[in-house]
Parts: sequence; structure tokens; C-alpha cells
Amino acid sequence: MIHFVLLISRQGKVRLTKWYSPYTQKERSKVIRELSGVILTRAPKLCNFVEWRGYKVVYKRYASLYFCMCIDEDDNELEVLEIIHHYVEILDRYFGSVCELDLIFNFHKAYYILDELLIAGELQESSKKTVARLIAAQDSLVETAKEEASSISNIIAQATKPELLVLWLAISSEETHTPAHAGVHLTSTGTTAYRADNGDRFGPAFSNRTRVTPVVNPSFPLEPLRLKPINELLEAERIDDAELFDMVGVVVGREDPI
Amino acid sequence: MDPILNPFSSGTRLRDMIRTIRACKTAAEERAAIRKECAAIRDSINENDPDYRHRNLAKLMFIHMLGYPTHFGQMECLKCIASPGFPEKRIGYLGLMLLLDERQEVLMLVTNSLKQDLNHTNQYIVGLALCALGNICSAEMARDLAPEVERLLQFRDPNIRKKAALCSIRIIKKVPDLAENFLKPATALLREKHHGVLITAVQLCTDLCKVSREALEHIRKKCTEDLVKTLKDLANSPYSPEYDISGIADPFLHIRLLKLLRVLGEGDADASDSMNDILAQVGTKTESNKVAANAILYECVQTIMSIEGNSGLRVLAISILGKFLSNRDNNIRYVALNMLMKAVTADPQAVLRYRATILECVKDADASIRKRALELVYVLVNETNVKPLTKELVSYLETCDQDFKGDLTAKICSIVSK
Repeated sequence: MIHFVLLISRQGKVRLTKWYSPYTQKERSKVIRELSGVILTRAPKLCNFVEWRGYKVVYKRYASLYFCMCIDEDDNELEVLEIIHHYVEILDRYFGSVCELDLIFNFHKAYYILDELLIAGELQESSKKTVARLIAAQDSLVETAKEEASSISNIIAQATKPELLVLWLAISSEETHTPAHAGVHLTSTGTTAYRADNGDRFGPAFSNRTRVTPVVNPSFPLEPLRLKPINELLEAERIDDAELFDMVGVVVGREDPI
Repeated sequence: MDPILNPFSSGTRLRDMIRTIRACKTAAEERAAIRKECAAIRDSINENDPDYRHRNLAKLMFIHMLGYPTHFGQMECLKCIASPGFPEKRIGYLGLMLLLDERQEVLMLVTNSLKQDLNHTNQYIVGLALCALGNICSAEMARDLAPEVERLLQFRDPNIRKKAALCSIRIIKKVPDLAENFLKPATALLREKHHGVLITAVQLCTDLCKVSREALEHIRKKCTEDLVKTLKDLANSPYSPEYDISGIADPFLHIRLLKLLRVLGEGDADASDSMNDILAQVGTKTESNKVAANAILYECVQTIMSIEGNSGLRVLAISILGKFLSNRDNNIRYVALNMLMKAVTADPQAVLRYRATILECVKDADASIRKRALELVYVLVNETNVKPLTKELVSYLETCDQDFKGDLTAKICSIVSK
């Protein structure tokens, strides 16, 4: 069986630990320190197996992360290499080209995925498609619960609660010189303005995910940001020529409530 | 840091707290930040606001992963698990698995919630409970909840059946007496087509055999033939994108079946006979030099070497290992040397045929391979070959690495004294 799974960065930071055998908190820290020392100092061309305390540890490096799994002496090391790869591929599909930052900020999701892959230190599912489907189903249960929670009774509290959608919208006008880059945060109480962190004044950055910070007393007028959902635009019987349409916003993602 | 959003209030989102902590430049700064955050979480816990429970727990888990103590958060796990909503239960069970271990008494308090959730109408909640139980239950909890898990082995959804199968493994390991209760439902699962259920059921049966003599005999008698057929069908199955890895259909299932067959064939001539054909097929037809294929071959070799004698198969097994020894991938060379060590006791002559390649491995670039190869040479030494073998070793001594010289010299001395 797999006794534990460890994900450590090149600097020895722990990104994920999962224990399938009884180790006290103290023992866990000791194991992590010891193994990190052994694995991080191994030369790159050596084989992916290390003998350690009577067990075997299989590890593989993916970019800046070391994925390690500790198994019994008589287990199949080559298979565990495949299991590690299986996990990495599923993470990659879920996050879309996964990187270490994804696993840092979404560690709970990395755990949820691992829990669909292994239980009691044994493999649970060999189909990546099935794992992806199960995770998606549970994620959508969480979404539904969130949407229900943000119903009428919660509107008052919404001001301090997390947002559901971030809609990007860009307006540029050479004549009016209105600031071109603004993100708009939709809540049920109204719109708040945000300015993109990358400091661009003109031009949208749809291909990048950008963090936003709230802007108090924005210097640019909110009035020009007259937002309409796309179907309203498409079905409008008459479009006001005075209105300037520059860009259609794209929902770039839903944010986790926590 | 934005003055409006204080990262140390529970109103802050998880990712803001993470970012703030990551921005700390020294260990002292980080400690101070964590202390502040823990204080805020403690206050929030005392206010008992259900809306922030979810977020507090996630923050606690992050802090825990950094290595700081988080005992004060354990009860929050229980409160989340006891909440009716799926998101709270999901994070609650995760917190449980991360922040607690089976020796803690607090764990017992979850038993009731677990029992309710194992009977929940929402199958994903049943799944959460099975997962948590399968990962950290104590012997007492195992005993309490075994009947629920047993029942779930026949649940309508395969996702639950496969989780129940793995959960059962933990239960029988904690309380071996209960093994006989799981025997019948476990063997019934062996007839399923769903790969997830098959993989977990085969693993469950393997562990049942290890834990109970009666289980082993029962499964050997009733299931060996069917298992051989399942493996045959799998090996001959057409391309399936869902399960294909490097051109092979579900290598994981291949490997688990081979492992179970090994347990069943060991010490029993009839059972071993019935698997000879499929072992020969897997051993000869598995092509490709990818890890998946070699993992299957490796398992196949292990099975052949453990079951009752068929000299033809053993020759095949050793030849596979021989090929492994010349493989460019050092992982493959490493496992081959390991296996040859075990094969030597059964058939030293066959292994000796690969003497030259083994000696090459003593000079390998990889230290673990050199070590293994040296041990193997030591075991292979006999009166007829001691002279040429030691000669080789001594000549290598002149050119090898400093740190290896010690080991090598010691080994040469032991050989001479043998």
C-alpha cells in the first residue's frame, strides 16, 4: 500500500501531505524533514526509487515540484510511477496546465482530486475521465449551494461577502480618454469598480488572468460602464447610436467562496 | 496590503491570507503573521458564525501545512461535518483527514455523523464519509461502522461500490476478525465490468487473502478461473481511449489481477497450472518500452517466480529480467537487479547466464544500481567463478568512485573469506 503522499517544492516547502498509515503530528514532521533532505539532494540522473527506513519511496519531479509516494518493500515501484503520473495528468486537466501556484492557492482542490484517486493507500480509479467527472459533479454541488445561499435573505450581507463573477470589460475612446481598462465586479447590490493590477491603461488582457483590487472613489466615471448582458444586445429591437460599444465582456471565471 | 481588506480578519478570503503569508520575508515575520491569523480565527470560532466556518477551516489547513499547531481547530471539523450542506461536509471531512490522526480521541465523536452520512440520500455525501472512514478510522470505528460499509458494497452506484471496497480494506486490516463478513460481497464484485470497481474489488480480495486463511482458500477455489478469464479478456481487449496508457488497456487493472493471481497460485499447483497460459501471453505479448508496459512485465515476472514451478515460464521470466538489465532506463535496471536477487535462490544457474551484464551494472553511473549489482554478484559467487569474478571486481576498484571504493573493498574481502 501507499503509506503517504508528499508534494514538496525544490526549496523544501510542503505543498501537500496525505497519510494513509498512523503517524503522529510529530512523526509526520520528522518524516517530512528527513525525506526532503534525502530527495532534494539526489542528483537528477539517478533512478526514481529510494530505500528509506525499510520502505521504498518513489518520487518524480515535475517542474518545481517533487511528487513522492512511500510504499512497501514488495510493492511495484514502476506502477507507482504511473500512479504519480496519473495524478499529475488529472491535475493538469483540471487546472489547465497546472503550475505550483495553482496547488498553493487551491490546495483543497488538489486534495479533493487525490481523494478520488486513492483511499486507504490503494488506487481507486484508473479512468481520468471518471475522476474528472466526479470532481466536476461535486464542484457543481458546491456552486449550487452557493447560489442558493446568495438568495434574498443574504443580499444585505453581500457587501462583505465574496463575489460570484468577475466580468471584464474594456472601453477605449480616443475622444473622451476614458480609462480603458476596468474590471467590473457584479454583486446583487450594484457595481463596484476595480482597476487591473498590471497597470495597463489601455487594452484588455483577456488572455491573462489578472488579479483585481477594489478601487475606492474611482477617478473614472462609472456611468460609461453601462453593462448589458449579451443576449440583451443581440435581441434589442433598436440600438441607441449614441452608445459606444467597444467590447463585449467575457466571464473569465467563477471564484471560490473561500 | 490594502488598508480596506485586513488579511487578518475572518472576512478575508483564503487566497488573501495565503498571499500575505507568502509575502513575509523572514521566518519571524511569518510566525508573527500566523499568530495574528490564528488569533482572528480563534475569535471567529468563538463567535460561532456558521458562515465563516468553511473559510476558517480552509485557513487552518493551510496554516497546518506550514507546520504550525492547529489543535484549536479540530472541533470546527466536527461542526462542519455535522452541517447539513455539502460544501461544509466536504471541507469538514478534508479537515478531519488532515488535522487529526486515528489516535486522537476527538475522532470518536465523528462516528455518529459518519453513520448518518453513510446512509445519506446524496451519494456524494456517502462518498465523503467512505473516503474519510477508509483513510483514518480506528479499530473501534471500524467495528462500529463495518455493517454500513458492507451494505454499501452492493450500492447501486459504482462510484460508491469502489469506495466501499477500499474502505473495507482498511476495516479488515484494523479488525481482521471481520474479514469473513466481507468475503461474499467482495467476491461478487469480481464479476463486475466497471474498471474502478474491479480494481478495488481485486485489491480487497488480495488483502482478504493475506488476512484470512479461509478467505484465501475460498477465493482460490471459487474465483481463480474467472480471474484468469478477466485478465485474458483485458489483455485481448480492443483500444479504449478511457483506459489506454501507452497502448495498453488499463495497466493498473492488469497489475492488480497479476498480484491476486500470485497470491492464489503460491503454494498451490492446480491454481498455478490454470494461470500458466495467461502468464505466458502477458510475458511475451506485452510490447513497448514505456513504464506502463514494463510495470506489467515486472509484476508478471514476480508472479511467475512465486507460483508453483513451470520451468518454461521461469526461463521466460529470467529472460525478461535479462532484457531489463540492458534497458537504457535506470529505473528498469534497478527493479531487474532487485528481482534477480530474489530469483537467485530459486535458480542461480539461470541468473548466472547474465553475469556479464550484472558486472556492467557494478560500474553503473547510478549509486543505488551499483550497490544492488554488487550485492547480487556477492550472492552469485561460487567455487567455480570466484576467481574471474573477483578479478573483475578488483580491476574496477582501481577506477571507481571514492565513496564506492569502501563498499567494493569490503565486498571483495567477504567474497574471499566465503
